[in-house]
Amino acid sequence: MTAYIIRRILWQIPVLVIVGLLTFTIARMTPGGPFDTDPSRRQLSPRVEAVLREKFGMDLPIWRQFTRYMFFDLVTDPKTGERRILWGAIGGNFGPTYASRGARTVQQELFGSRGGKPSRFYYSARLGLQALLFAVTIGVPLGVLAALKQNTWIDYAALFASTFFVSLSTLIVGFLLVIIFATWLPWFTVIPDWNEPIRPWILPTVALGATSLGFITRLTRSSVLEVKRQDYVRTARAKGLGDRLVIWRHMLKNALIPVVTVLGPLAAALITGTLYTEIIFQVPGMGQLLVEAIGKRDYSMIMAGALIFVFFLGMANLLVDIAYGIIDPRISYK
Amino acid sequence: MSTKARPLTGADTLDLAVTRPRSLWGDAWRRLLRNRAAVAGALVILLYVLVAIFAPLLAPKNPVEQTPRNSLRPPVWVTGNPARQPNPENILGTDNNGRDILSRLIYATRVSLIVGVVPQVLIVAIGVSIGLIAGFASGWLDNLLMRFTEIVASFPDLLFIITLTVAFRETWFGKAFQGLLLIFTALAIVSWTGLARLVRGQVLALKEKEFVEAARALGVPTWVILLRHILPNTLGPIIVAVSFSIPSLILAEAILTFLGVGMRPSVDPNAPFPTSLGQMMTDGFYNLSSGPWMLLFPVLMISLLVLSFTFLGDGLRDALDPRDAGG
Repeated sequence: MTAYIIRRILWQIPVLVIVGLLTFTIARMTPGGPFDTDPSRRQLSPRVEAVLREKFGMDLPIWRQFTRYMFFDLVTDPKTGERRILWGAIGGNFGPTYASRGARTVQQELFGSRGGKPSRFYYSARLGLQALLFAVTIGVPLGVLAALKQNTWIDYAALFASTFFVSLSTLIVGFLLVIIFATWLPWFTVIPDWNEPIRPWILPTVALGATSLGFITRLTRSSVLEVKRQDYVRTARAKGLGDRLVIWRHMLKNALIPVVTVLGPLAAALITGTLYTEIIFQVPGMGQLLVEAIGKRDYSMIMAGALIFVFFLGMANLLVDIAYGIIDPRISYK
Repeated sequence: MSTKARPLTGADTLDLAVTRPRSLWGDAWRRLLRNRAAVAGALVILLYVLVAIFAPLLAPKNPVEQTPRNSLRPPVWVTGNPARQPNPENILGTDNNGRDILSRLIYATRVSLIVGVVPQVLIVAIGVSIGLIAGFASGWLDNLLMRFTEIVASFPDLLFIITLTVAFRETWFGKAFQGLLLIFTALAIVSWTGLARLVRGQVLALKEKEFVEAARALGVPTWVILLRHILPNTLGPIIVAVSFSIPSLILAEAILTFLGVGMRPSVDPNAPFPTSLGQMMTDGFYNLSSGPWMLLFPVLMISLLVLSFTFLGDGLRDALDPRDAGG
């Protein structure tokens, strides 16, 4: 098991490097650079641009720009002439942002708190976790209930709602929620006040979690239905065990295994879903900043975004696989 | 008294004997027609297709014609606000530029339909060939292809599409066909992985079957086995997978447009694709407080279309793979 986990973590490294290389290549192929300003504003003087280019290492050969960003680079201090190692993304340094002309680093923008308010990462991570929690705590019981009451109105309602959520995706559910709860019913405001503790979180959490909720409900339902017909459940009933014991100890334990496996892909959907959910509900998280960064050709922010997303995705998948191995003793990792 | 002996070879028994054997596809077709939700979905899709084709005949107004003094009119049945009275000429109201929403919706169905279908050609071409090769080759080639698939799949697809579309947006490729060509390509590049895995799994199972072994024993060349014997047997799952990926592509267009990297709306009064549902939703979202109907109608249009495709996909899955009908 330990060896398996280590191998999986090591496999992350080439994945991240390839993802970094791909993003780097695409970002650099993009016409226009980070120092093109909009023509209505004052242009950068060539001297300032030259200084900035040097500061960002853009005068280096292209491969070295990449290794400098991803791994490390040897820099010589202009005053002391001392040579030292400048760590890159591998050491948690995602570089200065181009948008701030190098005044702030990416990690300050994403993980630093802003004037007493929590960091952008906090908002995105909390939104994602809340959505996952919402999907699991409602989806699993709903799926179990639908399966136990198969072919009743509860079952049909649960199936219809989950099909609706799964197929419409976060964007449409988000729009519907905004229309219903922020314009028709004055329960929420279109422009949320993020100083309130709970209210601004409700709509984005529901919108982001809805697709996963539908997915988990459907999966739980079909999985419980399958387990319900198994011989060992019949045996348990024949032994005279009560309903509650059969459901909890014999059925759910086995029925939930497929549900755990799907949490990995769902985490992926949640992570990318935050991109537009944050825009719809004006959450001051990472998603908004990343979408802006792509438009502004903010290379370091784009790279950081891709790397962080893929990193969390890999970790989520690893956690799911480990959990899978713990729940299902038939599976052994070598 | 004699009993009437029924002749053993009566006309009706003969009839039974010559009844043609029911084919797999015929069976699937019958199962599909029995599924009411799937049939309803198919009819709605057909309706959308007809609307898209005959848009110029159906649209009451020109979809890009702006009438500034007629902007932000609510739908005709919303008469509550004395400051904003509906204009009877615009049944579903007008947008912030005074364009007729109903006409725009009619034209917008075109983009949604083609964005759901056209990239499938590329997706199927890449996904099926990689899946076939990986499944049949096994060994290092299989390993290589599947690792490659895994990497593409592990990339957050949306982020990748956005990066791609931003990168090529200002090139001739990105401007071709109002930016739709780039969107098709970008969507296809990230969407083939599921299909490749599916096909590979099918091939792995099929290549151990007797009929493949028989073909090989007869000396049939590998590529003929692949194309003539294995591919047709994977067709069912491929059709199901494609039908499920259509709605996600339709939604992807809306998401990309919402993020500002989608198709370019046209102001040419003769443009065949003046706008898309995603574009209309985006406009609606940014005018939410002054004209919520600008958001509501495209949201309803896209929801109905996406749900119809989902129901049809469910029906196809149940029809083509009856073993899986329980879920």
